[in-house]
Amino acid sequence: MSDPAAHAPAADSAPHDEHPHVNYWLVFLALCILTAASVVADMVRGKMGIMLLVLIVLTVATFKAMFVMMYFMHLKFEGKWKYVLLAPTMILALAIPAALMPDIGSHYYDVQVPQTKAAPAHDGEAGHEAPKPKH
Amino acid sequence: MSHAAGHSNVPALKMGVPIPNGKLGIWLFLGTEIMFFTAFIGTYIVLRLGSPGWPIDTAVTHINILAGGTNTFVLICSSVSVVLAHEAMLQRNYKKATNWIILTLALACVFLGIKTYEYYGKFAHDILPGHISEDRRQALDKLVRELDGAVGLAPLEAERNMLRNIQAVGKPPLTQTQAVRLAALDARNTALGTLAAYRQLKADAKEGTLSLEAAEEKLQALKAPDHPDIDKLKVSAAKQIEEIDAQLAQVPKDAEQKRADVQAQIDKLDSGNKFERRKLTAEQTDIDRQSTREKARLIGAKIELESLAAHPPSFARVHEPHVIKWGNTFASTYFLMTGFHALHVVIGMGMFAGIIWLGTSGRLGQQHCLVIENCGLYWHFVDLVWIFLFPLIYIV
Repeated sequence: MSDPAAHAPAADSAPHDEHPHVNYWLVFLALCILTAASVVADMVRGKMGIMLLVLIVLTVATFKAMFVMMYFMHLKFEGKWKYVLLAPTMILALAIPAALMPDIGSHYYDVQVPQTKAAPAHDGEAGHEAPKPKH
Repeated sequence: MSHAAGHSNVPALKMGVPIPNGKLGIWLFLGTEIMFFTAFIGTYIVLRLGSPGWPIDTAVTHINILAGGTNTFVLICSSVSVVLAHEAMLQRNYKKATNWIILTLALACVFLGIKTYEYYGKFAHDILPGHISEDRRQALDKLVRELDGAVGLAPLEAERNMLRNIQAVGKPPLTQTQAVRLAALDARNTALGTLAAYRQLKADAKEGTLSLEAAEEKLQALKAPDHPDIDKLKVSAAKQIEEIDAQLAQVPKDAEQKRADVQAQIDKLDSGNKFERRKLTAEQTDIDRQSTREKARLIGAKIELESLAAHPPSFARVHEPHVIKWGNTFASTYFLMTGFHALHVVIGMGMFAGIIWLGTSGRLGQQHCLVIENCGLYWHFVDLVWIFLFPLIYIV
């Protein structure tokens, strides 16, 4: 994939008020290709494990986010203030997930909720609980 | 000392971040937005990790990857158009900038249209927080509730019991309106008695003797508009209406007869027996009043039956009894994330509408360059959120 940054001046050499020249259509193309890659990965999900699929689509999403932030939001051409402003929010944003993780995300104990209980003998319908998967 | 020599040579202190205040403001706002959405997305990931058997089958969740993928493409296009609008502003081409913003607004409308279609599917299949059965017993209970809802039984039954209690106690007696209503409810209840398949399905579901497949099969049969029970209901209603018509014809005759009997007694009285005469005249008035009441009661029942026969209960909207483990958590997180994202889209559309108004009225100028840049930054953030929601909700 061609680097859209090729058309842009180096980050630190450009003052913030000097308008960076980005070929937005190249960024657009990159984003479209990456979106298509996610959809293709979903289509062939049967041939790979779920963990590999998760890894692929989240990596693709991260790359897409980087393209949007760097070129559309011009963060590539902004000064160092962007780290001061955004790094704390990124860290603080992880507070709730981190707080929930030990109890909700992973348990060292058996969880006694209806969803994890084995169905009673009469209800032997595990295979019929929901319509058959499409894939 | 040089520093003491002249203060005038010392450059003025430059405070703050070297960007316009407006831009700093929007970035600070976006910082809070990052925390807002990361809390939702992060919590969703944690909940998924802690819920073995999370529903991922698209046939169950009614998640449409094509719709999600199209919306991703639409938002990417809108991000390009908004950044090109800013580019046009820098070139002082305000007409071009307005046109790019119009395209952005149109793309936002497409996004919301597709989202509405997706939400419609969720509502149609009742994939809503708190509506989903997570085991067999819940599914059967929900089926019973919805069957009764389709017949309108629960509230009518409660009203009928209340009126019957009043009638049984007798103090105070039923008012005219209450008597008419009770007659209508009784007639309706008798007609609904013909819905044998509905009653059987409900009883089996309550008992829990039914498998979900059998329940679904029976429900499908019940949903057919030409179900024999519906015909029976219509026949029963017609028969009741016939009886009511006969009674309606009989009521004035009976009243007339009673009046004549009383009149005969009046005629036999001595002219001096005023007290007895007055009593019998009052009795005649009472006969008239009772006859009118009886007629009103019968007409009330007849109207109810006619309405029931014209609009028999339909089970078309009763949902198939399905079990979706963790379905409620799934629906909660889905609507929370996509709902707040859609709300941001709507707010962005409001901003674009304002810019278009400025552009079309010829007031858009260089002073709005920063406004468009800031709106663009907001819109790119909305796109950014969707970039993560798409794989997490639609693919993984």
